[in-house]
Amino acid sequence: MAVTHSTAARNAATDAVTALIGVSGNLKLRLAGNIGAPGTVVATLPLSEDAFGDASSGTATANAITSDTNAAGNASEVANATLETSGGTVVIHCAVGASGSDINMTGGLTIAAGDTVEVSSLTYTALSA
Amino acid sequence: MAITELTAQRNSVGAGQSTTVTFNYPNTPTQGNLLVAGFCWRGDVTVTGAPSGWNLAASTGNGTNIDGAIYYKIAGSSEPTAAQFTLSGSQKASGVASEWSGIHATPLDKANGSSGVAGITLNTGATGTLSQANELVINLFSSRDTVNFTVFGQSQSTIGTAQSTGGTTASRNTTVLAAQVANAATSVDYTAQIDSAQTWVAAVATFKQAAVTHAASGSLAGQVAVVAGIATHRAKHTISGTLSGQGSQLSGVSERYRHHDASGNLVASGSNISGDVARYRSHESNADLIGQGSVVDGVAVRYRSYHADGDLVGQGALLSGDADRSDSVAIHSAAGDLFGQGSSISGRSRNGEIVASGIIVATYQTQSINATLPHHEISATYESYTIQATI
Repeated sequence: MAVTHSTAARNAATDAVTALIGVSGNLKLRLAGNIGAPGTVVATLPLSEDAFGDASSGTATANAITSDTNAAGNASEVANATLETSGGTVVIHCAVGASGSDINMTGGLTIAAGDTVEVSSLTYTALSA
Repeated sequence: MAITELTAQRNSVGAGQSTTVTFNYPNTPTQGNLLVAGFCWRGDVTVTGAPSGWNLAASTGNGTNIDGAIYYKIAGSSEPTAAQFTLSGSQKASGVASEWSGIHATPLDKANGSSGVAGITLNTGATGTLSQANELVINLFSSRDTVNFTVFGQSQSTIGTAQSTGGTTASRNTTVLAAQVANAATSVDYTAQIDSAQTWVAAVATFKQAAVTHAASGSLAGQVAVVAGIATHRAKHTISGTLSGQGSQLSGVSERYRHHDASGNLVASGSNISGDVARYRSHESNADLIGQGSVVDGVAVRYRSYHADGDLVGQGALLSGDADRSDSVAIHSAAGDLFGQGSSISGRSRNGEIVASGIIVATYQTQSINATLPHHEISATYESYTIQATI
């Protein structure tokens, strides 16, 4: 049987995770990797001082994310993204794809040096309802 | 954004003796597009003047015989259709110009030049590793005399061919501008062949693809929550029904704060509530424990409290346990009757109180007995007893 949670529990879980990002964290687009060994960084997008707002109905919405207007770039495709502290500690690791992924990106998955990467919206939900 | 040539904008120059080389685009170039002009001239003069905004990308030369250069510009608003270059001396020149879209705002990446004498194979020279994939490679080849280019290596595409004019053919030159978009960020070195051995020059310039804007959005959802395994904190086992049959059992191990409650009946031989805790255990049985071997027991290090408010019935009914210290608050109480041979309350506490009926075996403690003890015996060591009973 799937475990379910109250809204209060889901909000608490989501807020607890996003709080770990702390002040002035970053969203980084990376080559393939995992949370223990993240892939090479291709683009870095600074998060707001408060990365996410308070969770509602179990979901937190990211505050404004600054675009990377001069991406480091790489000849290989990005496959993952990390949300991490200003010191580089990874809190969340997720997938990036053209569609049907955690983060969906237009303009191709190969980011060239100097490209611009912008994230228009991002939400995080820690637990299912 | 892919790099694309506006082929309608191709134009060329094939001129006689002159100090200027002028390209004329058929239409006004589009702002932001890359304009490229490659031209070569006879003699050992230099380019002394370039149109506004045009930059030298690559140059090549072979002494007094033939020289050449590739120039480029990112078209501005209202870009002129004419682009005139000035030579330091009057020479015969030929060249080709083109326009490209999808180019980076600061486009030039790599450049090189090469030259040779009495050869049929021309090569631009290696560029060195390109900064990125999908760069536009512009190749300029020029040979003394009026020759035919027969082969272009590496599948490059010809943009245009031009020949200078005037005098003997040997005083002229033939120039080709070719291009290819390099797929990979590697070094490239392009070649071309002519139909007769001549003195030649070649040059290459690479231009980066326009920066792409990648727009992303996402919804990150944690995995479906699953609880499995062993919990070590704050476990609570609660049974409000009846456990019937031999071997009924409520048991477990937790590290802290365990609370076992059995508010129903444990019926039949072997009914059992047991477990070990490190601290603060509370075992409560508010019902009857019936049958041989009914047991409430356990070991607690500190502050244990046993309560059996029902009857312990049958041979061997037992309420027992040990407390190591600080049991000043511990009270062992059996408010019901202990029936049968061998009924027993035993334990050790400094200042506890035992209230029971039945056979009482105790050590160390002050015992208070308020019960009817027919035909039973009382034994004790060390301590005083207060007995209020009918024997």
